[in-house]
Amino acid sequence: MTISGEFTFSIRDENLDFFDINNRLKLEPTKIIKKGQGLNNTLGTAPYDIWLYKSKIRENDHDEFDRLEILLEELSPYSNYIKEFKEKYEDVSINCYFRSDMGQIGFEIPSNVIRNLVTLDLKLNFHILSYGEVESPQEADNNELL
Amino acid sequence: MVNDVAKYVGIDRNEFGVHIHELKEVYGMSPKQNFSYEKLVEIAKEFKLYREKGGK
Repeated sequence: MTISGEFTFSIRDENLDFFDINNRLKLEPTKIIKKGQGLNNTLGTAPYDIWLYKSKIRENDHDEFDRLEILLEELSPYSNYIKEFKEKYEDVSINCYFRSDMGQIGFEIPSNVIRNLVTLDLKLNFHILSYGEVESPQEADNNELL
Repeated sequence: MVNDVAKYVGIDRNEFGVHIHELKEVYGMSPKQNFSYEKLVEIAKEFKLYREKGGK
């Protein structure tokens, strides 16, 4: 797979009720960030409270969106809570962090993933880093490119 | 640009790419919010120092 990265379900606001979120979502958060927390000298302290649950793309995944499919299945039992959080907090969404060696990037989002996103009423944000390389002629032939 | 900065500062571009995305995540940055070249260089230098001190 030419794309590496991760999918993160994120709840963000200036003031989150972490106790309530943890109580309702029976998912162990990957990370919790508290507003004002020291994170990085260049960028300063955290501007928001953030609750994060991450699913990393694995080398042997068949497709880039396998992990998103699994993440959405994990979230689906909590769809009512997620809807409440969306009304209560500034931002509740899925972030896709993609990194690719290739300058030309393309992917397909499976229809069942789109369906689950619609059911959960979650927006999908893409953050893409490309290192700008091109495929060798052999790789291009293997991919049946023109 | 990420590649250029990594090369300029002398760090692994893949590790730097992961770090940039981690920063975007913990700072709650939207997809349209991205770092300037100058900011990337500052971030890269700090990252390099952190790694040299044994940080992961």
